[in-house]
Amino acid sequence: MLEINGINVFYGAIQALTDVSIKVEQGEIVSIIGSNGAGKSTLLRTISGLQRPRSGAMSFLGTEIQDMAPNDIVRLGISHSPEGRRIFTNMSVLENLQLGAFTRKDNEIAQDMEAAMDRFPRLRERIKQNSGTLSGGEQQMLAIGRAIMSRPKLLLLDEPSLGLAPNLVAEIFRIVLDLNKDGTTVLLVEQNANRALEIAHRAYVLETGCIVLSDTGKNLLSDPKVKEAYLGG
Amino acid sequence: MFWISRLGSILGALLFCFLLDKVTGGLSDFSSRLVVLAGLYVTLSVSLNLINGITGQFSMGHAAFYQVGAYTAGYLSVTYFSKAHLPGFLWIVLMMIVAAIGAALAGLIVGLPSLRLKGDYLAIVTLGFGEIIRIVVQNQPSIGGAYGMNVQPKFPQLFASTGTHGVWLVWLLAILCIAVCRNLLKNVHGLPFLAVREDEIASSAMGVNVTGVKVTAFLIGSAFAGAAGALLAHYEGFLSPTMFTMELSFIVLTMVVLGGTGSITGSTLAAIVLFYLPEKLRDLPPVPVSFLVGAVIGAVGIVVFLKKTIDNYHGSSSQKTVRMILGTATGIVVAAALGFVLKVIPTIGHAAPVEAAKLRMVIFAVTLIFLMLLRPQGVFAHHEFSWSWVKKLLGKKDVPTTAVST
Ligand SMILES: Nc1ncnc2c1ncn2[C@@H]1O[C@H](COP(=O)(O)OP(=O)(O)OP(=O)(O)O)[C@@H](O)[C@H]1O
Ligand SMILES: [Mg+2]
Repeated sequence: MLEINGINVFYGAIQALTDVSIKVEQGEIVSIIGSNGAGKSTLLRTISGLQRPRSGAMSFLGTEIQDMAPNDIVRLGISHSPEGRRIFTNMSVLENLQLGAFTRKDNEIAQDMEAAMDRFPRLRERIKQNSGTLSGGEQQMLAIGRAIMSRPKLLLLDEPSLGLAPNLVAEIFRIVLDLNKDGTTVLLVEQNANRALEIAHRAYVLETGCIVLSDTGKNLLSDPKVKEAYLGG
Repeated sequence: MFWISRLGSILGALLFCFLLDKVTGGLSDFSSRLVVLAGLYVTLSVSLNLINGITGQFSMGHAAFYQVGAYTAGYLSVTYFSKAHLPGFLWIVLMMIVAAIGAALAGLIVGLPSLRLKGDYLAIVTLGFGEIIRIVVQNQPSIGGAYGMNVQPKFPQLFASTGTHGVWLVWLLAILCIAVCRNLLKNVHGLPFLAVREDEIASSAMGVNVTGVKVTAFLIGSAFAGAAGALLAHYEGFLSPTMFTMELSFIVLTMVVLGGTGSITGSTLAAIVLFYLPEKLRDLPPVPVSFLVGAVIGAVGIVVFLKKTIDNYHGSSSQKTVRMILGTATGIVVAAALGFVLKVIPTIGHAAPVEAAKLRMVIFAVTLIFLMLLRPQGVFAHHEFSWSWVKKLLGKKDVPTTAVST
């Protein structure tokens, strides 16, 4: 579905990604783990067009996307829930969700809005509330809810569990699994390597801008190097 | 239902403009002139609010778009009106459209750098652009250069056949500008503008064409300023580069900021108040020096007290308001008392009274400082006038939906 071939991404003179190649197949959950500054967010930003690769190729469902504008990439079916949630804090929950469906012209938006609120009952209760007043966990749910309102074929999630209490972390991962069961392909970036590998079909390990390992989630969980570096020994 | 209320608004607007025209027809030239200029300021302020307030781009060159519109219309009228054989008020509408297009093209030119520049940098570019336009015009003898240019025909001739004074068209443009901006905001199609103001990266991730939104804001905003310029040209019958200085851009910017960046209600009311205030201050009687000194001391005291109350008082908001009103009243009484007391001092008591009218710009500036200290988010902040808001005020308790906004 998504195929990335040898991309190099720079911030000015600093190289953030070096010759990165990954693949995501239809229906998969693919996780990317790596330490701080490894380039995980950069990879997602590059896929969604917020960052340009200096070289290399990316294709999604057969369309070359490396030179596309972010808004066209969203229309192709990729939705990005960026690092730090970045919800619109001066707008209501409802308006945030409406913005998520911004690219759609079909008449099933209302129906999807209902579905999103069924998935996140806390959002339904707070639909008219100013989203800046939501708790951190609720804001994360809104960020995911907003991202799925575009009916993405591929959902890019950047650290959805960051800063959440353990029970909420579990809930977020359950939601990711649910979304995947309902047919959304997921590319997940996580610090919480344990859980990210548990739910992933396949995963990549990113170190200072390079892919150093790739395998099934299960195999990586038992890989001694991964254990030592990312799973706390 | 929707269409009935929509139709009602349109009829209401037309009726308002028509009545305004009738009323001002009976006013002295000076008073009706103020009504016309106020209408133009409302258009300028609301259209700048679309760029600065709603979309969050810091443009400081609004006078330039006004000027481009004014000169475009002025030049075309002088050259072609006599050959066109069009009824006057159709001609002016045509000029407004052409001026809007001209100004929108200028807006496009300024809007393009806004894609790369943020905040202060964009402010500097737009400011520079405004000056460039003014200086280019100043050095073009074909449109009068620094001496200015006479524009024919003027309002009386243009509107003679309609039996009106043209005031209606000025305010119709203002109302149209308000309506367009308000629809942009109310509509789901308006959300992208607000989204870009809040977070450009998140907006692009949602599929909002950030570039497109910014350019659209500049296009619409400058088009309205241009149309207003066309009206100015034919109302004044004279154009000169000195009418479009940086100062004008600053005044309009002040209206937007003071009204509450992003609030259409705010920029409309602020435009009217800030335009009328300096004019009304012309009528002030002479003031003895002692009272002037008292007023200054009183004003400083009030500002300090109010600022303290706002920052440090943690009681309920109604208690806070009471304190603020009492504090202000005390300050005024103290100022007046000081006025009497200071009279005793010979140098102050015997000085000739000061013409307060001469101090009007000082008073104006002090008022602005006052308001910005006390309410930095602008009088209306992000809020808008709406009937449900009136109902709430009248006591029907309703759950506040978007109470918090900074
Ligand atoms: N806008 C930017 N300008 C310059 N350098 C940047 C920028 N964004 C990221 N970088 C650099 O690129 C590298 C990769 O950053 P990135 O945000 O992709 O890391 P990450 O893997 O997501 O880290 P984290 O887990 O902390 O979120 C880092 O060295 C970072 O300093
Ligand atoms: Mg990151």
